[in-house]
This record gives sequence, structure tokens and C-alpha cells, in this order.
Amino acid sequence: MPEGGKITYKQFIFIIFIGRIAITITTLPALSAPPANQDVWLSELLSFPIMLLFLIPIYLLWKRFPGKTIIQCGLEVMGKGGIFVGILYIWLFIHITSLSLAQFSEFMASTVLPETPLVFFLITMMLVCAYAVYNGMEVMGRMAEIVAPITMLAIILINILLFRDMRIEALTPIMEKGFFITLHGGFTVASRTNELITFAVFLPCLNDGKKAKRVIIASSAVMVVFFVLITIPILTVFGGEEAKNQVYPFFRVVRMINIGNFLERVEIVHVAIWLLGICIKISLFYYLSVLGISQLFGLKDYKPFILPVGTVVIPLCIAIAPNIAVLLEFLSYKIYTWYSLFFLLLLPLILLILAMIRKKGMRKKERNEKPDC
Amino acid sequence: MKSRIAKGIFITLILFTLTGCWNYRELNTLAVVQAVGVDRTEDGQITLTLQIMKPAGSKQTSSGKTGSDGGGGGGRGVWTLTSTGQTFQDALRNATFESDRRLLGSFVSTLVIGEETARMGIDSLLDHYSRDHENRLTIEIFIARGKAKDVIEARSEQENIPARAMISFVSAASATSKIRTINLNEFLKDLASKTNDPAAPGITTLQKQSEGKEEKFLKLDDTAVFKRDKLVGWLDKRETRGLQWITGKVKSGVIVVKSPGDETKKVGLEITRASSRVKPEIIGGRPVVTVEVKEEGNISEELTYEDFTRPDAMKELDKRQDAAVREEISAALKKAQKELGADIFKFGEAIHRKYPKEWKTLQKEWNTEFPKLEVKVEVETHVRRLYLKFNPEKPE
Repeated sequence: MPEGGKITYKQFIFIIFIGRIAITITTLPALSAPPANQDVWLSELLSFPIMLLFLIPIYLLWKRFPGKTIIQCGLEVMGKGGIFVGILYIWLFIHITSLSLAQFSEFMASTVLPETPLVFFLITMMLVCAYAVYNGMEVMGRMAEIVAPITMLAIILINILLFRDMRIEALTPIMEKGFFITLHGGFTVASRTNELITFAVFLPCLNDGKKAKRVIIASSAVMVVFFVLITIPILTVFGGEEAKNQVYPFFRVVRMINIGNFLERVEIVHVAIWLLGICIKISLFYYLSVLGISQLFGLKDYKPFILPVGTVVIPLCIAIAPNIAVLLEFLSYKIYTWYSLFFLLLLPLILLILAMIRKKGMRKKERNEKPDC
Repeated sequence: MKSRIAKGIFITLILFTLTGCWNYRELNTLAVVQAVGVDRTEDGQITLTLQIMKPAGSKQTSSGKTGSDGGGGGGRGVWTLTSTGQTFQDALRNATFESDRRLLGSFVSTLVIGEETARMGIDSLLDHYSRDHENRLTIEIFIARGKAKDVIEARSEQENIPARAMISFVSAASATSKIRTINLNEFLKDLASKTNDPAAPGITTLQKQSEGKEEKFLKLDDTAVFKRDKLVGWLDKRETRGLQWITGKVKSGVIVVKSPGDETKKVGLEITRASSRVKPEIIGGRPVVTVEVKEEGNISEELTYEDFTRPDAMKELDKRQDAAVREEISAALKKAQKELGADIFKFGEAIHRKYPKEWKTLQKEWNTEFPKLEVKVEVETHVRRLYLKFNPEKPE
């Protein structure tokens, strides 16, 4: 276990869910990825088995090295070379923290608070997240336990309120561009789900190791279900073509809610759930970065790194997103899919193969003797 | 103890930062815009006419208390201003030259576009409105016959805020089903779909005497038909209902037919329910669209002495109702297909949904295909009830 903290499998599912949904309810780049028409929701459904496939190396690696995060695995398998793997992952975590922070500040600046200086968003958000990280993973888990049900409820409620405006026939023709392009869409959706990488660090923190499989399947399923629940109103209210044209499609669709000229202008509900969600997402990756650094150097405590990493993240956030076009280009399916896939699939796979060749870690027999650690 | 003092200082300091938003805008510093009218000037600039709420005037009651609300306009809840600029937003911001309060655009409920402006294409005018973070996509679009300025400046007899009257027009459109309404989202969706063409309600002004003064009042007019984003023509009231039959938007209304007993007299039938289905087919490589309309009505007015308690008279009436609906539909089809060439019925979209493969080639030639498209109309109507009376009283 990385820091002595343990989380339940329910909290685990919620953390992963929140992290994924927080981004989905803002930019939703899946709309312009192939198939880029009304079949996007099918791609999202198809991403479920693909996500499970992607998780196999991480799962097997955890089985081989129970109680060790991917950075510790790297050190054990590759020795000095593991430091390089560790640095790569730490970079990824810091990068995702900055990306999420950039998305947060860009969204706030383009929709609700356009005149507030960007630095104000960045610093206040980072302070809140630093506090969450300081308190450790258990606190974040409990926070997710409160926030996730609220988010789920809000998304379902928004679906119900929009039901009148939805035109279900906008989802036809189904699979217009053929099955394989839709599957390709599923592939990009699955590989963009960088929250899956957290399994590589968090599986050892699960308080009941036997439930690991269940956590993986359940969290992927919950993610996909809500992903579809977010996409369907967008596609049916705007239509496939107009949906692609929206920078923040879900926000826009929430703005369309109007029940009898009485229940309207409820988009602030969206902003509220989104703020809570993005806060957890940033804290999550912030935590992973500082934890990774402490493990790379073999330190027991990660807390001294909170402030230095925070001061790196804020300028990095400004550097990677000088304007929204740069940010969105990087996050588009052409670049981000492969960037994310490298860390999600390729690196764990290389580590796994090396571990098998060098016969490191526990083999099957030993595992059966010591099922829990 | 020490930490308690530190906490106390911290909390006191926080107090100073929580006094409120630093770029707040209070209601009494804002001018709430209710409706926007857009015209293009001759030199390509954009003129906006804004209808702005007058907070004191809008609560004035119908009794009109002793002229306390100022002379001009006789207690109108709004005032209007006109501003010109290079682009839509430029003109909007230039309006602050005349308004001492900052304009708040998020409560705009109607967008009126001048006829000449609409003929030049309005896509560029809608962009700012659909992009800006303050605005919603649910505003209603109207096309003014003539200048949008006149419509925005016109009055409404019942409402202090004319924009509110226009919104009521939209919700009352089902009384006749002869008005086609469209909001910004639907309009943009049609433009984005590549083959759908939008149709928007027209609005005009009417000179009337009111309280001794000659003034202009709002009145709904024919339906404006667009080809892509350019206005190409108008559907009259009868053709508009034809369009509404095909798109399944008819909710209520009156069909007037000639009485079977006396061809010079009329019978009024009230539509109680109606629905439609558009069924595309590909027959021998050519697209054919079948429009199925189902309608039910009751006799609501009889100007002859024909006895409709007889089933065969009812049946004859049914036939005439059928013919009337059919005639409205074919009038709309003829105008849109042959004269205007605008796919306001979304036939292209229907074919796309059912035949995505064939559509790929068809879409490129849709401009030439649509006027030639074969449309079959199948109407099924029923006259069901007489309401509360058998026959009119006959003065011998």
C-alpha cells in the first residue's frame, strides 16, 4: 500500500467515474472523433469491452506485484531503467493535472465568468486540491462517495427534463458509416479514458483485493452508462451535425431546458456538479504525481512534494494552453488517443513481458498461497 | 491557544474577501433587452433595433394612472433604440452610446430579421447570438415584412412589452395551425443538416387608431421560406397549414368546407387531433416519398340546414374534409418544390435516415432532385361528432 490509506471498492468506482465524467460533461471530444455522426453513442457502448481489454496488462501486473504501484513495479522489474518509467508516469500525472486544470479554467472563462483573471481560477483550485491531497486518498474517496451520487442524480434529472426536446429519430440511421468506423470510435473513447491508469496505482490500495476484478468491470460499466446518458441528449437535441459544432455541448444542452417557461435557466446545476467533479479529478492526478515522486525516491511521506508540484502545475497549465485551440488540438482524437494509449497499454505491457522474462514477481502458484496482501 | 488566535485572524481576513462578486452588475444598472431587430444598411453595415424594458413602465396597469408614466407612448413598458455597426456585436455594443445602462442580452426572447436582410442571407447574423455565452438557443425567430425596425417599434394592444406578445403569438399558433414557428436551435440545426431548409413566421405591422392616435400594431403574417440561409419566398396561410400537416405540427384549427346540401354555404370542422408520417422509398433507383396524414374533426359550425345526423351525409362531409386537407398539402408541396425549391419538409433528412447508402449520391444532387421528387399524399380523415346540437334552427 502506498501511504497506508485504504479505500473501499465503492469509493474506487466513484473516484474513477467522477474523473471521467467531469471532462465528458464539458468538452466531449468524442463527438468529433470518428464516426463523428449520430453513432457516437454506439461507439461509447462499444468502448466498454475495449476498456476491459486495455486493462488486462495492468491487472496482470498487479497480480504479479500485489501491493505495489506501477512505479514500484518498474523499479523492481527494470532496476535502474525503472527510474525512467517512473519519470514518464510522473510526467503523465502532472500533465493530466495541468490539462484538467486548463480545461477547468477555460470552461469557467468561456461560459460563466469571462472577466475573472485566469490565475485566480488556477490558484484557488490548486489550493483546494492541495488540501485534499494533503489529507490523503481516504479523504478523497469519501468526498467522491458524496459527490458521485449527486452527479449521477443530476445527469439523470437533466435527461428527464430534456426528454420533451429530444428527437429520438435523430439517432438514425444507425451505423451509417459501417461497423468498423464505429468500433474505431469505441477504440478512441476507450484509450482517451486515462482514468484507467489510476488502476495501476490504486489497485494496491483497495481494502479487499478479491474485489479487484469487480472494481474494474463495475467502474468501466458505470462510466460507459453515464457517458451514453450524457451523449444521447446532446445528439437528440442538437442533431449529429450541430452537436459537433458545440465547444461545450452538455452545458449548451442543459441551457435548453425549459419546462413551461417556469423551470428554466438551470445550467448552474451543471456548473455545480462539474466543479465538484473537476476538483476531484485534479486532486486525484495531483495526488498520483506527488505519490509517484515519493515512491520513485523511496520516501515514506509524499507530503513535502505537494507544494513544489503545485507550483509546477500552474505555470505548466498556462504553457500548454495559451489558447483554447492549442488545448483542444492536443485533446482531439488524433493526438491524445495515442498519447494516452502509450501509458495505458504499451508501458504496462512492456513491464509485464519483462517481468515474465526475468521471472520477477509472484507466479501463479505463489499467488494462490497468498491471495490477499 | 496560539492556533486559535491564528484561526481567528484568518476568519476575520476572509470576511473582507467575501463581500460579494467584484464584477457584479445590479439590476438597476442594467438595461434588459427583450427583442432584437436586425436590418442591413445599404453600405453593408448592420442596424440593430433593440426593445428595452422600462422597469417602471412595465408594471403600469390598464387603468393608466393620471399620466404619471410620462407622456410618450402612453405607458409603454419598453423603449427602443437603434444602433449601427460593422457586425452584429459591434452594433450591439454601439447601442451603449444611447443607453446609459449596460445592455443585458440573456433575456432576449425574440429575434426579428428584416425581409431585405433575410434575402441576403442571415447565417452571419446568427453566429454571434449562438456563440455568446450570455445567450440561449431557445429564442424565437421572426421575419419582418419590410424593416425589422418597424416591427420592434410597433405596439401591442394587450401587452406592455411587445416582445412578450410575440412569444404569445407563438404559443397561440396552434389555434389555427397556420403559423410556422421556429427557434434559433431549430434554425441552426436545419442549416447544419445540409439539405433541410428552414421556414420562419413572418410578422408585420398594422396601422390602427388607438386612444386617438395613429399607431402601429403587431400582426402575424405569411411564412417565410428559406433556401439555406437566404429568404426565397413566402407561403400564404393555406400553404403554411399544408406544411404543418406534412411535418405533423397541426394541433388544432378550423377546416371550412362547402356543405354537401348547398354548395354556396359552408360547414366548419374543428380539428381535434392530427398526425403525420413521412415514408421514403426508393423505387427503381428514384426516391419516392409518401406522406400519410391522419386527422379527426368535429362539426363545430353549420351554415346550412343539411341533416348531418344521417351517416351518409357525414360520410360526404368526410370526403370534403379529406379533399380540403389534401388540397392544402398539395398547395404547399407545389409552392416549395416547383417555385422555391426549398426542402422545408425535411424529406432529404427522411431519406437519409432510411437509405443512408443511396443518400450519399443523392445528397449532392438534392438541389435538382428535390423539385422533381415524387410525393404521394395519403390522407385519412374522420368527422366524428356534432358537439351539443343536431341541426340549426330553421326560420321558416
